[in-house]
Amino acid sequence: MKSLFKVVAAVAVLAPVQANAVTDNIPFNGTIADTCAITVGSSGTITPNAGYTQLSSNNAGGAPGTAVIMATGTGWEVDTVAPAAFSTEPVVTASTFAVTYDLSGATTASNVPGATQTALTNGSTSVSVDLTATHPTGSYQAGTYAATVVLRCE
Amino acid sequence: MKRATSLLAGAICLALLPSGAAAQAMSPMRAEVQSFTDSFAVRVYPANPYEHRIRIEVKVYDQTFREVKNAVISPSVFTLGARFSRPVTVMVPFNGEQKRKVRICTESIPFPGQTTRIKAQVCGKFLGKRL
Repeated sequence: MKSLFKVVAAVAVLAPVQANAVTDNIPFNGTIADTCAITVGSSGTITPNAGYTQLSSNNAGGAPGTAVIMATGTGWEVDTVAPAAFSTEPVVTASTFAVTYDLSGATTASNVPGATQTALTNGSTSVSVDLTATHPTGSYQAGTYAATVVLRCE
Repeated sequence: MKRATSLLAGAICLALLPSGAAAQAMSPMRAEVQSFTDSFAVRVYPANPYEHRIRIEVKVYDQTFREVKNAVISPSVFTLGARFSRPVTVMVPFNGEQKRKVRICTESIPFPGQTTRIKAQVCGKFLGKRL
């Protein structure tokens, strides 16, 4: 009886496992929302011109602000809104503001007036924003100046 | 000369954009809504696809970008964590019209202490129709 158990155990161990190979599909799904995302980048800097009548990122020492817009579809447009006034200035000046922007990457455009809408191509577009403030009557005096530009995707 | 030096040394810096980057997105950005009532509702999902939290404000504008003050936005101002989105419900009154086109915009709000001087604005266009 003991031997019988040993034989059965040995047969069980040595018997091949009959595993039938089976294939099937594993589905993967994903959705990308049709939208645009704005990532603001480096700060812009404005500096005075020779006559101190303008403060602009186009002057020597100035720098544009930068941003990246990722559009995941077509039909989106970008534009900017110039500030109505400085948010910080030593004396209220009632300055006038002008914004221009450049696009590179998926969409390209150069020196576009800020209020002009530009259609975006699907993909990543770098935006460079320039701001110029002009004194209404005279010249700017010493101090810190700050303003807000709106970068819009719609 | 002193004035000029002071002016230059004063680093007349206009921060157009923040050094601490902020980003945002929103979906959907186009929709047509039908309503039996005096207002129509839209649910949008502002999203923060980046690795830091951002402060967001949702606003409603008409076609000429005048703010629709009597729209009800819930919530209208909130903080959104990294790689997160949340629903925002917007109720827009028809103001007696049969249909109304509005823009619903997600706007970034700079955190205190940041030098943010740009407002990133992502706007969707929505049409409400009264049945």
